[in-house]
Amino acid sequence: MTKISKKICLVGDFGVGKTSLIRRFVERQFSDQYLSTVGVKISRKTLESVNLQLLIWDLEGHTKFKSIAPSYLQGASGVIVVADVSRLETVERLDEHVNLFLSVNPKGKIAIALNKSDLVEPEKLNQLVQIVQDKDLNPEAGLYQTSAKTGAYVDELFEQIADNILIKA
Amino acid sequence: MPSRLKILAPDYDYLALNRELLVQEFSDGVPNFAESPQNLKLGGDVRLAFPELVGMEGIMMDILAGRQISFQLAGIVRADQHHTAQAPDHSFYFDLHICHHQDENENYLILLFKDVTERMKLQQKLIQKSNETNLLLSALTHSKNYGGAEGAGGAGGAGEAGEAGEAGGEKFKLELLRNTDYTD
Repeated sequence: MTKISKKICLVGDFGVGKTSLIRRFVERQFSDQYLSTVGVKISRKTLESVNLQLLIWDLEGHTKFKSIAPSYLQGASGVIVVADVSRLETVERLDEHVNLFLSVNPKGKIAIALNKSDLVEPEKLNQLVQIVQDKDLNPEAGLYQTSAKTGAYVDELFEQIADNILIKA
Repeated sequence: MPSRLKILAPDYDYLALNRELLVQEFSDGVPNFAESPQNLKLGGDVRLAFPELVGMEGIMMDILAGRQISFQLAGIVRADQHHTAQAPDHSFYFDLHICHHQDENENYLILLFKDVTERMKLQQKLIQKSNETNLLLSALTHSKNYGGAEGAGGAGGAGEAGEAGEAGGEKFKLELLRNTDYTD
């Protein structure tokens, strides 16, 4: 059986943990040190169970001075939009990132990661989930309360978006 | 032949592809840009050596057919897998430009590569400083929202805490901006 390769992107504001989520998923590692990404870094991970190679694009985070370049999103089968639960403004900007992705890839699959879930109380997490649900973004591949630090729901996040992409393929 | 491109654009390395995205020709420096140089072979699928082209097939066909003039991906990093605190970091960045080249009866897709490591490493330093400052400011604002105005120089009743906190945040922001050295 031939291995299929698909491109997915991680987008979100700066410092929300996009690089850390990828590192946790691909290398099974985590570092507390913050090193901002510039440009784009591409990582590979093969999901043997479904014979799919994910090409994971780690994009430079959105800042008030610099938006995400749409050219990086072209050809992506899916996106993981990431927010940091300890910074409400990053949650509030989720729909902006989702809309940007959909403007380039109207049929692309979407997952949302509320990352750094280890930093806030469960009660506050529930409030944030409610805020996201009220936005009616309807991410087909789900909404996850992830922690790149503990590894919580990281594999589930990537595996689910891979499954959704394959259903489409 | 596309090799004339090397003379016309000496700062770039080039790679020529046919319609099936099979490598037809490349300049000497191209293996340095490949993620898997061992997979860069004449007649081989270019996507094996350059995974960033997966998903770009539609765009490349549009360029070849003249429906799109060109396409650019800026600042692709090839990370140094062996980098440690002791060893120097050999990560490098490049810009990839895709265009079309017609030569006599042949029709090629041309990939142009340019090393932009110096520019991107400088950019990384600037963005790092700016983002760290903003994260610090966000953390301060967050602590103010939860901890009242004591840290901002005191305030009266609970109703005034928000205003005093905001004023303290602005003062702190100015202080941060004043102390941030962007030339570092």
